[in-house]
Amino acid sequence: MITLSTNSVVDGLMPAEKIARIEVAGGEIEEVSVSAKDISPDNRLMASEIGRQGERVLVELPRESASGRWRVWVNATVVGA
Amino acid sequence: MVLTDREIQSAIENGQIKIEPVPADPAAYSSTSLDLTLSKFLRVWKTTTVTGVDQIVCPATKGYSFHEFSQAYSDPREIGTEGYVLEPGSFVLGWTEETLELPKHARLAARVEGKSSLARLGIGIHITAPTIHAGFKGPIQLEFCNHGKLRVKVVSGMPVCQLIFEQTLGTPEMGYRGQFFGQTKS
Repeated sequence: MITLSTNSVVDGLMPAEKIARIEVAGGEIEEVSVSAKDISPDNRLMASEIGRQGERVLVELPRESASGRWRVWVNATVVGA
Repeated sequence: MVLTDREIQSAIENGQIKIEPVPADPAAYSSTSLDLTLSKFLRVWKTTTVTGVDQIVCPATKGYSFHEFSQAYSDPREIGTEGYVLEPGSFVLGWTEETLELPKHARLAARVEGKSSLARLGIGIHITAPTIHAGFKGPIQLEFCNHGKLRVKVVSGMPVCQLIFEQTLGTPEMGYRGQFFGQTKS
């Protein structure tokens, strides 16, 4: 399990849900609706590391994003333990 | 391979399936499924009634935000003691009362399916997205659609969907922390 820094975390459509926005490699924003349990107390999004290529990390999000992606490339700088 | 009631209960007891609250009523189980109940939370979509104004959503648009769209075009509702009436043709989001977690290493996935008691009245509870992937956690979102001609009332706490648990062949990549990423057959 890894965590990703988020651009924002806001309340979702129901109390147990949060909406997180993360920046992916390339600068685009991915939005994903997740369980509130997938957000750490310091507003980081829990995810799973799939692999690395150079400074990029392929991660699997806890849910499908608004753009339909489960796996996205992010910069290693946004990845934490 | 679909889990039977006994295997589902065993998986709950040993933590392969985490569900809160655990359905206490044995009647929540069938031979190969587990019923979940409807929470009080709903989200009701709005449609424009302004003449000449089209309401078009394009999720493929760069920068599309479901959050912003849903905030603008849906309203939160809570199901009161009187229940909530699904009008013919209506589309409403709901959630299960129970939260589910399928640990990544559990080698289990699930499908959320409707119940025939609602289906025969025209009520569908998901739209082509039934898979609960390994690693999922949270309440399950339901996409209510009333395909019938009748007004149908739903009540918080009623059995609303059923989960079918399936054993996966192997553990997904994320369960291995990506250690096999990029490997090729030699």
